[in-house]
Amino acid sequence: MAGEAEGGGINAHPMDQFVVKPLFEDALGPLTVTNSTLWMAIGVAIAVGLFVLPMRGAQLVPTRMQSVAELLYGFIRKMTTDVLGEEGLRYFPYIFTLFVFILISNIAGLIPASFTVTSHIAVTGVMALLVFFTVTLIGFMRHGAHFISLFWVDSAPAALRPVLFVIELISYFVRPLSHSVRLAGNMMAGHAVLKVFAAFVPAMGVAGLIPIAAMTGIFALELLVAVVQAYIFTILTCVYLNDALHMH
Amino acid sequence: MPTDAERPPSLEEIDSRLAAIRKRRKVKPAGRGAAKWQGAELAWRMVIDLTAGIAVGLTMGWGLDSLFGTMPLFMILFVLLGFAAGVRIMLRSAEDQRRKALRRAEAEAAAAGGRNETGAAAPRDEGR
Repeated sequence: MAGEAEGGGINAHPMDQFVVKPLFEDALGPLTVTNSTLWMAIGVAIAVGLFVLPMRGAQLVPTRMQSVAELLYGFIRKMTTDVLGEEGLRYFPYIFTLFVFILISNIAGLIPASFTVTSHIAVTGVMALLVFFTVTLIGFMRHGAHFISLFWVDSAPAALRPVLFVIELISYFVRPLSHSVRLAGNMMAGHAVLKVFAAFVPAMGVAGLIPIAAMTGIFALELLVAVVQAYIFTILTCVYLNDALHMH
Repeated sequence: MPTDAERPPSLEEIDSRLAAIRKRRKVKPAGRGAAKWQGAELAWRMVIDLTAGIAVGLTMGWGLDSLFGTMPLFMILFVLLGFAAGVRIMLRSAEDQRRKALRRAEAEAAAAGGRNETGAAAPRDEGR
């Protein structure tokens, strides 16, 4: 009661939920087990439980869990062939792994008191950089030095081409940044908004029902965002891969 | 002599009943709500691409400057180039969106045209 009077009612710490804390030790080192590590491991465990276990005794007429796994698999497989064509199926395991990890981390992060792994740019950045290097490597392996012509605009006047080359090069390097910022930003913003609304509840007394109702709506929206962002990250990976495979 | 209730339904009756069922089952076009969210997503993407372009340009310019010791020169140049790159990505995603919408409209028009043609064929022949 006294603390409430001192703090003026509202004490929101919307960013506290994103702090990476060591679980067993006191100091953070390169190999410390943190809450982020824990939730990544939980995400992997859920993925195994969702895909490996139901498919062990796979039947022609799927069981419930098997059909969930098959639905997700078929959905991403169709998206891959839509964007990349049949030859893109070679990269399907990678694309599907990305999708499943992001989807499960996003949704597991919505569990109260959990930790959202994908709200950290360190995590999404690594994934985006992996995609970036993979795509660049595949591009050079497929087309050799010819891959550079992706940045050389032939339709422009000759004097402008070097300038356009630099612009195209920058826009190529923008990809991993916007790719990772989009996912992390979306996850972080939604969760911070939820925390801010939650801080209104004790401050408003009976009228606190209003922010609770708003939070219910925002939570539903967050569930949508979690799924949509996983989908967008995956389809952008496909689009970037398509550039490297087919070049215009 | 069969009464009205026992009489098997005539072809017209079956036809009209079928038409009613088909009408009820017809796939409704996606509501405007979905389109609205898609627009927001596109705008969000464009803003991120634009700012990311400037950020990448700034970083590149900074790196080049500290390499050659020409402090503000490349930074200014590359911020502008980064902005241009951001605008270019933005224009490209807008163009993609336009092409997708066009393709969707064409597919819809083709589907609608196909449906009209079967109905319109008979009257057209009558005039000749």
